[in-house]
Amino acid sequence: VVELRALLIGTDRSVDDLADTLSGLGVVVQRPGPAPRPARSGQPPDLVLVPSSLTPAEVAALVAGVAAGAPPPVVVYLDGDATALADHIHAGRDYLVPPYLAAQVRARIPGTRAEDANLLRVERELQIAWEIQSGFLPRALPARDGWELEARLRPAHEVCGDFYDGFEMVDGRRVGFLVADVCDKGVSAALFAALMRTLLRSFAEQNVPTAWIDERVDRRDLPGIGETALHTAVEGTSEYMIRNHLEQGYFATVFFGVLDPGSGGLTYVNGGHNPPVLRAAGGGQTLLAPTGPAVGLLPDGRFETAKVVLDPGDLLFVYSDGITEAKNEQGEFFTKDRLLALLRSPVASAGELLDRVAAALRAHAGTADQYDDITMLVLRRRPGPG
Amino acid sequence: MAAVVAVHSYAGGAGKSHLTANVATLLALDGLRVAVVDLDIPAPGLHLLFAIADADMGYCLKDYLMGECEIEDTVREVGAGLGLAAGGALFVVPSSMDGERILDLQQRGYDIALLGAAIRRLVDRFALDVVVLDTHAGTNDESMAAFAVADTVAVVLRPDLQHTRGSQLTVSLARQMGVPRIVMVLNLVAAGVDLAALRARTEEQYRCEVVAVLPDCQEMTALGSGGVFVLLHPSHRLTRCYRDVASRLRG
Repeated sequence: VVELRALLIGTDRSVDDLADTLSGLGVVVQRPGPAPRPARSGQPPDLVLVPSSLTPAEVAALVAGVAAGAPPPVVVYLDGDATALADHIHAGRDYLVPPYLAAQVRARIPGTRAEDANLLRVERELQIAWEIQSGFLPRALPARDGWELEARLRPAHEVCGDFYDGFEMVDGRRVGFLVADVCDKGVSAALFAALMRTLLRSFAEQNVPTAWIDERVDRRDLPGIGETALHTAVEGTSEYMIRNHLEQGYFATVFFGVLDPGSGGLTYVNGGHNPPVLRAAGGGQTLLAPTGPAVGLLPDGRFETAKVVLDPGDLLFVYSDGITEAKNEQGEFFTKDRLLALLRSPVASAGELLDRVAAALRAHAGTADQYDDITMLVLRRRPGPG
Repeated sequence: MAAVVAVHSYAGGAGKSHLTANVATLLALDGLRVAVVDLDIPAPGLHLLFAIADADMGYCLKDYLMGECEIEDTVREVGAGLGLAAGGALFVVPSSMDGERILDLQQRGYDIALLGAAIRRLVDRFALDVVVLDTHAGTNDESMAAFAVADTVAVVLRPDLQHTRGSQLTVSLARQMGVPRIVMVLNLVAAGVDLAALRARTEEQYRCEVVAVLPDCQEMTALGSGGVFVLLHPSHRLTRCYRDVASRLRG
């Protein structure tokens, strides 16, 4: 049974009856008094009950303060003048009037009915799922002198099919990073994201010295440091997905880069991912096109590796299509052109660029719902002295 | 541009390490800057020939491959007191004799590309003219890596069936990988064998140049890996043969 937590605001005697009825329905009632200052951390209440003597604006301010995320549902109860209730009803609030009979309260309070309780349970489970999934994201990306590596991820729903990662490779001689977007959304995509993230990282950390001998025996095509691991990670993950999960039809677009921080050399595989943008210090842009199909998509998919060099002041912007396909209230996409235009202006730091894109996305979306997960990662080589 | 020579054999006991140590020493005596790298990770031995004491081992190739040091940290200069001609230098990158560490490395593996990167870096940092790579017998990761970076692969073989048959595989792998120059060294050839006929037969069999036919000799057996032959027996006919190999490998 899921416990429903209600925050009951107000000190009037009539509130005691409401509290008793709620308790009788199995609701845990917290009564912080007339002016609550609840912490923004910890578990937020599932609903907030407020007296009609407050103005709608006061209610809005109060509710905004009780939870860090989305505000919980609000129910206004009558205290004093019945006309005050009208303003709240106008503002779209649900309401209760005495006497607070169990049947009436149950009908009005979301979560006290059986189906609501189930919904609440699912929501809580999803919340836990996201906590676990976000724990799969690296707490910090590897740091190297002269380099910035930062990433942001904003899920469209409770859990998401996007992920990014960053870790050391070849005993710290290289830095690996990736952005991936599992097809589909929600829980199913999230489960495959967890699987593929683990496969990619696990394969990347293995040493398979002879991997390059099989097909590319010609010494002119010999892999560089970290390239075998990169190739093994992408190809191994793809083969695993096809061998075990082909019928489920899940795959992911993946951009996986391996950086040599000393030389600025970047070796990468782009498995069907929308092309990252390499922005030169002078403002010129190069798109890093796919070097293979999406990971887990084609049984005989071949993944080539490609190389570029980041000179001082250059940066690489890797993102998921949740950015370019973000919609505004009129249903218009954000578009790649707008993104490329944003990347054209000078960039002071990786964080500044992430903020810039995030702000432009917010301005574009307005009140429209976020349709897809949004992930972006910036690798920037700091400009050299002089 | 430094010349990189990989010394390889299909089976053990062909005399790779001796050839490596002696050729490298002769080239350094001639005034070249030479490094030898012990890529025989499972069964290292070059440090013995160059008399590097266990106590002085310090960082080895294995430590570099496991990310514990840079390749420069593994280099020993061993040319002092050898009477090298002006400009000559002789360096050794030993492997590890610590059995546990060898197993460690073999179990966890390493990025094979580190070997090529190490050789390029050695050439650059030590201004080398020649790098000689001693490999483990047979087809394995280190020998494939050596083939990948070498300008010349010298296949050492004894006149016995396992060596002669197996060397076909070695030569064909080296060809497949596009090694620019593949040469054969016939070693431990018994007295009384018609050397010219053996050389001709071998060249025909492998379609490779035979750069030397080295005789089996008691003095080498007596040395028992306790030093570099050409330094101890400068006038020996085997030394003359090694000198011939060195000059041909030098190109």
